[in-house]
Amino acid sequence: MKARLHPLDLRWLLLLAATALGWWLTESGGTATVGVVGGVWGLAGFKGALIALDFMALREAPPPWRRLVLGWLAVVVAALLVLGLAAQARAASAGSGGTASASFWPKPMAAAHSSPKSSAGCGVRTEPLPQVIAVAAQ
Amino acid sequence: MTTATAPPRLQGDVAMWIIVVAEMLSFGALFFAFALARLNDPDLFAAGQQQLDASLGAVNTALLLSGSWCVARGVAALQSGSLGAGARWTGAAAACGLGFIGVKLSEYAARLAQGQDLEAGPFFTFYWLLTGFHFLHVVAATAVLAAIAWRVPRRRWGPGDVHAPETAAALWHMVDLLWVVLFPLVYLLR
Repeated sequence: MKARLHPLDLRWLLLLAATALGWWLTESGGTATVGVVGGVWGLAGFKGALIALDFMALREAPPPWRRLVLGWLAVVVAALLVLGLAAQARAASAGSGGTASASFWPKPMAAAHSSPKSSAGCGVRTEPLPQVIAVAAQ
Repeated sequence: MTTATAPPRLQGDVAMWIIVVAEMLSFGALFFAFALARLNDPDLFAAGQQQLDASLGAVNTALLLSGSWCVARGVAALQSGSLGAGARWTGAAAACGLGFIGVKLSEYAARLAQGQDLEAGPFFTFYWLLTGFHFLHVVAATAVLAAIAWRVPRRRWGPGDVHAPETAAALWHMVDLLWVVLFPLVYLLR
């Protein structure tokens, strides 16, 4: 008996391969480079388009629905790519002596977010609370 | 000789598709807020992301993608009149959903054990909001798929009536589509 590959099987294999490639891109090299960031978001867009067109069957749907979902995907992926690259550039400039002290969070709020419960340092600012308050009060 | 092409058709109920689009817009706003907050404090977010187990996220990606594949195969089987295959594929999709839920709960337990709750800093606030909302959607979609799989032999959905399975499939695929963006944003790109 000859096993036949259903068209949906091929889409599934492509999606898994794209996931594996994205995983390899980010895990193989420490800090993400511009190429890695672009590659990962490109793969995410590719996967999203496959899901929308073939699993959601939007390829056979009225065009406005297809455009709506694919348009959402394009806008979201493009925005996250640009913001991700900007964040990366900002982190790099801070690492090379640039100023990255300005925070989205007002300093008192940032201090409040410095929860002592989080022992691993994530979401934690290293300045002691009184020092942060003193800086904010200046 | 001319070949008749099927007219365009939206699979599933229009009401579900309106919900799907509304959810996509809501999650899109959350994704944007996450990226903006990360832009303003990249080091803090990178430190938070280092605490996550990206391999668990990758496993869950494979589970959701496989679930979508199973749902699509199930709907295709029902459209061609194969009730048994339709029930099996849909049941397999629900099993993928249960797998996702199990992996996610173990991940959440690890985070809480380390004190990384909703108030453990901006990164974890976003982490819990984004993944938590998504998790609730997975739970709902899994329950719907399990109900569809159980009902297929009794309800006898077939070529002339696949509206409910197609509607459930649209919900599941949306959950998958959102994760395809959420996974690299929160787990992979540091």
